[in-house]
Amino acid sequence: MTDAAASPIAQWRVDVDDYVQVLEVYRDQGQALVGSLGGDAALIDIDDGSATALERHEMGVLSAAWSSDGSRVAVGGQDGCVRIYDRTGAAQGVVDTSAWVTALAWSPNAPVLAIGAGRHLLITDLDGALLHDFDDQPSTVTAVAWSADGSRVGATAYGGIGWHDVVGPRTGRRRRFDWKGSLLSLAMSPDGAWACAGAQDATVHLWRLWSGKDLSMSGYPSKIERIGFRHDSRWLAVACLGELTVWDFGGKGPAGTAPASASGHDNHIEDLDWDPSGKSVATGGGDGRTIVWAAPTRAGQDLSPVTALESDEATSRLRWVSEDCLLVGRADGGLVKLAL
Amino acid sequence: MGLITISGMVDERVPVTVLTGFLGAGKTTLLNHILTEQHGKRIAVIENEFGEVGIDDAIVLDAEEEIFEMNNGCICCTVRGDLIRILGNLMRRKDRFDQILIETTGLADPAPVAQTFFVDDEMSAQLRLDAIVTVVDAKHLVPHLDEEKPEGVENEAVEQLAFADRVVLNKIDLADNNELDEVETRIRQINPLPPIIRTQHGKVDLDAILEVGAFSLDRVLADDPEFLDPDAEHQHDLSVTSVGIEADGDLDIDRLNEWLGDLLRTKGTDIFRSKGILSIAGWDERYVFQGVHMLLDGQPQGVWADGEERRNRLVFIGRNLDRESLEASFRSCLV
Repeated sequence: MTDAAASPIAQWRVDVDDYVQVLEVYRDQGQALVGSLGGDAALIDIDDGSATALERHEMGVLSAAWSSDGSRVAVGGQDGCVRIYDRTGAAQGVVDTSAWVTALAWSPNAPVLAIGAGRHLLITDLDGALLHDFDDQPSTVTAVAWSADGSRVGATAYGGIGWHDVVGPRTGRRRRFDWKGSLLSLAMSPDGAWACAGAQDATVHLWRLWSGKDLSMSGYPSKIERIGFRHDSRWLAVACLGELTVWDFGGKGPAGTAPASASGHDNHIEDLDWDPSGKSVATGGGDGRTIVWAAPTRAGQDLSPVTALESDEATSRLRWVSEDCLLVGRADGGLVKLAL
Repeated sequence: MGLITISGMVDERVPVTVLTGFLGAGKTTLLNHILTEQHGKRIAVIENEFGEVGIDDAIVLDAEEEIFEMNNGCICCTVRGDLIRILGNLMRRKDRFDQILIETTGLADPAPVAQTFFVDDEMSAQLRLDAIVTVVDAKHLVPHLDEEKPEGVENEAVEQLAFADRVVLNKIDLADNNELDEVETRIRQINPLPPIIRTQHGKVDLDAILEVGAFSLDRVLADDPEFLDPDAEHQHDLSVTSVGIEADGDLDIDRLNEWLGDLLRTKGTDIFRSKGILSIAGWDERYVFQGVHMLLDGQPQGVWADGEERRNRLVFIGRNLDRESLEASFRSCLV
């Protein structure tokens, strides 16, 4: 599966059978999980690019997540299956849902997995044994995320975010953040203060997590599928078509402020990721460009590129490995490690 | 509306055909006929109810209807979230499809399906809605149309005809000529535009229903549809019908814009489809438009010939349309 370096700075290249739909890294143990819309899934040793093939998910891999301690990785697909492996790629469990597995997230502090599949939010243990089935989601679950303290799981769908208590005596209790629209993505600020969702109706909707007070960022030209907080919760990056905007969550929050913005893609931005130090944010586009932007220092700023790389093939996913190393997945199934 | 119809450019987007019609009308039979005749082409089929698709070449995906209202201030603007998800993933794969067929349930509203291809940028960039093909059963259509629905509940059989670009009148062997004529008259009263194709066992000449470009502005002119319903006088009591308007003369562009904008804003929910060829004062070219509910697409197209009578022709198909008021307000836009 490993190829000769395709560009001077590419350290290795691995190929899966189709569009790289899923790419999740566990930096501390130097591993990545890659999955394609063709169905291939593999564990990658980031150091040398050696790959361990996992079970295929026919019609495509749609989601994957590493447990907080790195001992497990869960992979979900259009075949309705969630497969759980240990770090060597040995199978530990399978969950059969009857719907596309669109979202997976492990608790930040417990051996518990949340699965979004169709109108179900399933909670399982480390090896896939079912603990709870919240089977009445209002529509297909598009994203799941845990509160920072691990007590609740949020599931986005058409109509808002449903919050579900999953720990302790109140397990099963619900709370809702309603929003009459189709939510496509969900990001929790690492400090536990905010829940943010990108929507089909070209807005980013924000909730103060504990008060439920909300606001909307509108004026975008198209639906919002990719959003992400910096590790310190100060900045929220939002990709819309070819433009990146970055909202300042310092002080009283982003209400009434202008976002920092960056234009450098001729086509849709397919993915974004903050580098672990927070110095920069990377975007990958359908135009084949991968651009590293310096993090903003103030609201309203025009961001400038630190590095821009061109490729003939569209970028589909990207993840930072370290401050100077990126993994980039492509529409043709290629996965490369780039040293910057 | 996201139609890209720059003259002379080849539209490389993948065509999408939507098959609607009541359960038992013969949608699945027609679908299998298409797949058999089109062997060699890469076709993706999206089904909303379990059918008996028996062709190995085609990729078949099941979808569960999820209608999302768009938060854009337009209450009639709805899309199908399930289609965006399924087609989005399908179009990212290396497999390239020549054609996509969507078979809806017998009770599906065609509007959200159609609007999905104009409202979502990702869809409109890669896919082109070719036509809504409505399959009806020659023997059982009339009772469906006459079915009394409780207040506020749509008669889906009527809506599916109102949205149709082509009507496949199936099972003609089960009805006599008088019955067939009556069925066609009833279809025309709801929607005068679509060609009606009589058939048995779904065996339709595919050129009549595929690659017809029903949403292409080029084709509005080329097809030269019959906008005026000859029986217009006799259908006062129909809740879903068409209003065709013909008027000689030139239109004031500002007044026209205001009239159309206001009409779609206030009556967009009730107007299902619209089409027109208009003469604008000072323009050498015709103005051609077509719309689904509030979504309107229009452009200048085709120069009027020397000495040609500059006649405006337009049609609205919808619910509770007031013919007199529509025609009077349109005529007030004439210079």
